[in-house]
Formats: sequence, structure tokens, C-alpha cells
Amino acid sequence: MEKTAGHTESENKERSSHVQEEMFFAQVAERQRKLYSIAYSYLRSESDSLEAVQEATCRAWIKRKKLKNPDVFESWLIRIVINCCMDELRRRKRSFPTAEFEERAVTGEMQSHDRIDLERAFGKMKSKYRHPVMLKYYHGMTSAQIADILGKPEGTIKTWLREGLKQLKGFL
Amino acid sequence: MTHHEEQKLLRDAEQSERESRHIGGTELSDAVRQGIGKGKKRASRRRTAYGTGTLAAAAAVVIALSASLLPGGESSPAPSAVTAGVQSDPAAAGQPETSDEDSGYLSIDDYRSVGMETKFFNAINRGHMKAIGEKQEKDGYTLTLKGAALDKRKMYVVAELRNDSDRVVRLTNPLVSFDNVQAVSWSLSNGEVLPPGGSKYLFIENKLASGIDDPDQAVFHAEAYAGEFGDPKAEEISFDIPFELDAQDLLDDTRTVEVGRELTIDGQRIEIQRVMLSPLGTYVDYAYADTNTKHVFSLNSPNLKVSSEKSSESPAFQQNDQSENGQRTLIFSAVLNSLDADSIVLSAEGIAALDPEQLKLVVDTEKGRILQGGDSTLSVSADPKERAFTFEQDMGEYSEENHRDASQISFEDTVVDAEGRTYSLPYAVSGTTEQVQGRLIDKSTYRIEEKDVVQPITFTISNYWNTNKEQAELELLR
Repeated sequence: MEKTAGHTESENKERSSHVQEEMFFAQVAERQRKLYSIAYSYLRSESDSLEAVQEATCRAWIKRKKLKNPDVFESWLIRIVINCCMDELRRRKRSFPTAEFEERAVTGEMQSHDRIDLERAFGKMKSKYRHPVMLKYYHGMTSAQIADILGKPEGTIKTWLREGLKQLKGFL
Repeated sequence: MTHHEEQKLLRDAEQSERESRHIGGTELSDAVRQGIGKGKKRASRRRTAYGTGTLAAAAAVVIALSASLLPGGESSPAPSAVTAGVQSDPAAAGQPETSDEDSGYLSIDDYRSVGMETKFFNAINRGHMKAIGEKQEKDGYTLTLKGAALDKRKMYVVAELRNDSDRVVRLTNPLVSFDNVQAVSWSLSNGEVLPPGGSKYLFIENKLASGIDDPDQAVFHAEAYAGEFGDPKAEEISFDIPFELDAQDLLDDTRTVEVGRELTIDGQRIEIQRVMLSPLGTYVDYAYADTNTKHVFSLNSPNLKVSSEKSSESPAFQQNDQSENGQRTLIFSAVLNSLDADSIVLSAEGIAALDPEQLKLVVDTEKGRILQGGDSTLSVSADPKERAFTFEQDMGEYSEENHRDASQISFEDTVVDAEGRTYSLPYAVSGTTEQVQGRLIDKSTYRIEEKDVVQPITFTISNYWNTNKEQAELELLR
């Protein structure tokens, strides 16, 4: 086996991949609270939101080499988290096919009627309209920031925001 | 939105933010660590299946063996490779190791022993097929949508059919609709009858109408025929399965290049309008100029070369398509590095064309004589006893490429006899395309049912194959 500077080739490979992993962890960890907050706004469950962050990290790790521009890492990661949340929401719909929303206790608080109404309304919305509404009102993002995350022109985001609020109003 | 409703939204947002702060940093970091671990395991499962580069190349060769049409393809795409080791019964192959829903995408690990066309294999292997999981059970038959992928032109669906009845069953007519806009055509692989107690994967391609943009709500419709062919108690079962599909990532990875330049072959102009490169396919939209002096049927042996600084690919030609609105498209397989491409070159080896006066084929089908129309490659013979006649066309020197690309002569639905009476096109009894003494020979036999037809009969040619072998090339992107 070839030796370089006191280490085997396989040891060097292992160190290099460990360094890569630590760098990746640091990049995600820097944003972990933001990712969790976004997941929580969709799922409103601590365990499901942690699961979403875990799954998003998993998918991001697998696809990390496809990301050409490191400057968009955060937007890219947020998009993956949103996709994971939507997958979970669809799974919940399949497990609980009735449209009725059951009141459940979250961190010891009862769900308010407003919460129930909003959740029901969001569930009926087209997902492409839901995301700009959530990212603006729940996370204070600008149209430009939302456009980066969803990979759409800013004009499209403004249209979707307008349509989303219209739909939400109709369902509330 | 009123102030009251906006306040509801903002109050809920505040509550969500407050509640999300309860989580500790350590728990979050643990979730991230676990995510990386999960990602490494999943990625290594994929690598184990195909090994390093050498083994991956060998796997690709295995996939390319045995280029034969799969049965059950009423409107099958052009012949394409199937995986070796066809094992169409996933129950016999054992339960999948992982749930599709774990990753959000179908994993090729779960379909390794299943025969499928290369395009489905690539879509699953490249992580394009979103896991769905919706299912419907009726009368002992269960149809499960395993996964789907779509771009603006087509949709792939992988479904599983399970037969818990005591009769054979066959699926047909699988069509997806979005917001009441239905896919315009379908093709189905692995669709032959399923015996009682069995289950199998089905691979479905739907061609989409233009105008389906950014779909997310869809309904998958299919029919199942239960019972042997001709059984008076055979039953038709209808499935309608609603599902959601977020195909944003595939749509984001699609690149459209407007071309607007012409290819000229044998003096005939072909306008290349645009090329669209998606993770599922490469589409070249084109049109024949109205001012052409000949009626052009097709571009022969089209070839595409997509190059970037690092690589060059020639995606496989799959089919020449014409949509209901008349749009013509050359469809090739997907290119891996489409977003990096800085050169796209389209070439063709001639066109199939006839002068307008050759389109009317005047034939004495009783004596076996062509009186007018067609060209020197076409002849006809008669079998008066059977009231049948056979067109025979020499389609050129035999080669696998010619056999793959050549398309049989076809006619419009009505013919006219010598007294100007219109009849339905005679019934097609048989058709073969085969190698005869180094030539590719196509034969189509028809039978005339009507007894009062007055000879000769005029057919109108709607498709014809001839090869002028004039090569031409055009840069679509520069």
C-alpha cells in the first residue's frame, strides 16, 4: 500500500472525507434553528420538525455535489426542508383521510380556533401559493428572498403571494 | 385580505416562532448529525449496487442488452433496451429493503430485479421519481402508485398491481389528468396479464398536452380487465386515484433554447424551432416550411450531439412525434449535463419525401398494378381469390439503424374507386418488415370486403419511407 507522509492512502482518504463531513455539518448547523423554525411553521410538531430537519440534511448530503454555487446553499437547503415538510403533510393526509381537523395539545397549549381555521385553510391551498405566504408572514422574508428559495422570478412570487392570500381569505 | 385576517396570520406566526424556540441546540445538532449519517448510508447503498466507475460502465452494458419491444405496448415508444434478469413479480423477488417513502424518491435498489426500459431505469436511478404511495383496492385488485416523474412533455409512473382474486387481470388505459386536463396518450410496459395471487410493477409513460404547467394535484385513471379474453363474465374495473406531485425540482432543471434556424435537405426547408432539455428527455420542436416543393414525411436518422467543456453526449433517438395541434417533435433520451451544455448540434441523413402528385396512389388491386403515384421502391401484387393485395416496399439497404428508423407506408382512412365512390380503407390483414437478401423489405397485405368496387382504386399516402441519404447538420446552440 502506498504511504505518504506517514499515512496510508486510505487513511488520507478517510481524513479528507471526515473534514468534508465536518465542513458540511458546520454549514448546516449554522442554519439549523432557521430550518427548524420553518419546518415547525409547517408541521407544528416538535418531533416531526426534528425529523424534517434530519431528512433535509440527509437529502442535502446526498445532493451536495450537485450544488454548483455555494452562495445559494441556504436557499437550497430551505427548499429541501419545505419539500420534506410537504411530504410529511401528504403522509398525514393519507393516514388521516377525513377532512376534519382534531384538536390536539401542542406543548401543553390547546389549539385555538384560529389555529384550526388556518391549518384547515392552508391544507386546502395550492402548495405553490402556500409557500410564499408562509415564508413572508411566518419568517419575514422579502419577495426577493422567497424568489431565491423557490427558484422563481420575483414577479411570479408576488403573483403567487397575491393569489395565495386571496385563496386563504376564501377558505377562512 | 382584511386587516382582521392578516392579524390572524401574524398572531399564528408569532405563536409558531415562540413554540419553535423551545427546542434545544443539542437536539437540533443531533438531528443534523443523524441526517448526515442517514445520507451516507443511503448513498452507499446506491454505490454498492453499481460499484466504482468500471462496474457502473459494465452495469450500463448489461442494461443495453437485448433491444426488443416489451409486450403490451399498443402505442409503444421505439424499441429500447431492457434490463437483463427480468423478474416481473416483486413478491417473488422478496419485499423491498427500504420503504420508498423514507427518502421521498424511489430507490433503484428496490427495482434491481425488475425488467424495465432504460428510460425508467435512468429516471429512478438518477433520483427523479418522487415516491407517492397512494393506492386503491377494488374487487380483490389493488393498484398502488409507487412513484412518478414529470417534465412539461411527459410523465413517467411506476405502479404496482396486485391480484388477490381468482382470475387473471390486465391493466389498460392508464392516463393521468391534472385539473381536468388529461394526458393525450399512454404507453405501458410489463402490461401483460397478471395471474391470480401475483403482483407486478408496471411502467407507464403519458404524453402531456401543452398547457399543463406547474401541476400538483392529479388523478391517475386506469382500467383493469378481469377474466380470460372472450369470457362472457369478464369484468371491467375502473381505478381513479388522486395524488399530489411536486415536480418543481425537475421543472427547475429544464432548459429551453429557442433556435429559429433552418435545416435544408434536398431543397426542402425544416425549421428547427427550439430544443428543450429536461431530466427526462430532450425534445427538438420543428416544422416543415409551407413553401416546400415536396411533401416531407420525416427526417431520417436524426442525431443530436450535446457538448460542454467537460463532456459530450449523443442521447438516443426515441421517436418522432406529432401532437394533436400539429407540433412535430424529435424526442431523444435525457442528457446528463444539459445545464452546462454550450453546443448542441442536430444532424440527419436525409428526408423521406414525395412530390405532391405522387401522394395519390392509383392501384388496380385485382391485377396487381400501380398506375400512378408512389415511387420506384413500391410495388403491388394481387391475390384475386382472397380479394387481397400486397404492397411491397424496398426501404433500402438493411442495417439495424435503418430497421429501427424506417416507418411503414400508411394511407388515409378512405379510398376512392374509378367511379368516384368513397370507401373505408381496406382491412389490413398482415404486415412484416424484414431483411431479404441484404435489403429491408416491408410488406402490407389488405383485403377488400366490398364487392362493387370499380378498379382502379385511389389511395392517399399519409406516411412513406424513402432515403435520399443527403446528410445535413445544424448548430442549435452556439
